[in-house]
Amino acid sequence: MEKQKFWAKVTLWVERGVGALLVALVFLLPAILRCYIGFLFMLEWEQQLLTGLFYCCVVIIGWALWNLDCLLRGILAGEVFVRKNVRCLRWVQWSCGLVSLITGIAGIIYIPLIALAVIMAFLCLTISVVSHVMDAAVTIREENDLTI
Amino acid sequence: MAIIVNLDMMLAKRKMTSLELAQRIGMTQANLSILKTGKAKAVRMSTMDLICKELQCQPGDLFEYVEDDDPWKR
Repeated sequence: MEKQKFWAKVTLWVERGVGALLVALVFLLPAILRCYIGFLFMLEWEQQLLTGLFYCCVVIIGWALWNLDCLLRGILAGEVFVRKNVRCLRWVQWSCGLVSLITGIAGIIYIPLIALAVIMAFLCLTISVVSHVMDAAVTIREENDLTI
Repeated sequence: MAIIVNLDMMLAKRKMTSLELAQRIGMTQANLSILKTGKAKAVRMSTMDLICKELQCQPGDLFEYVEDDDPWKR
């Protein structure tokens, strides 16, 4: 149990580190896009659209990270199989789906983003399955709690 | 659910409180109250065995089935 809590804490701090990186990304995004995506070869409206879409993704990922934080804090508090955690997982699932959709649209302008869209779609599917498993586990736990 | 639990009736017949019964069968009163109030989803055979032994009754004395749309029986 102690080992589980230790790794849950490690995951929580990694997740918070990613959150801090996300905040840094908000300020560094335009510079990164200029350097790495070859913005210079794009039209003005394409650059603005891509930047806008990336900022949308940043907000959605921030929401997903917040839900992951809630999930991990709940687990550390001993509340594992509760409806609140299933809701958190579902939010993370839909966030991945939305990011997949947005990067898919951005892929029209910059083709390599389609690979990211596919990866996020797969992640959305995986988390969807995990949330269904968790939902079933919560139902079984609730039934067990009312078994005397 | 259409199953009515008559545990209160049996306890009154045997002149026993739910606290006494809970202590005798090694259960918390909170757990026993889940059964008394009809909130239980399942009862283990081992628990039934202990309750029937203490109350000197049959399982059928504790549970009664009524049709869901029978208002007089509720």
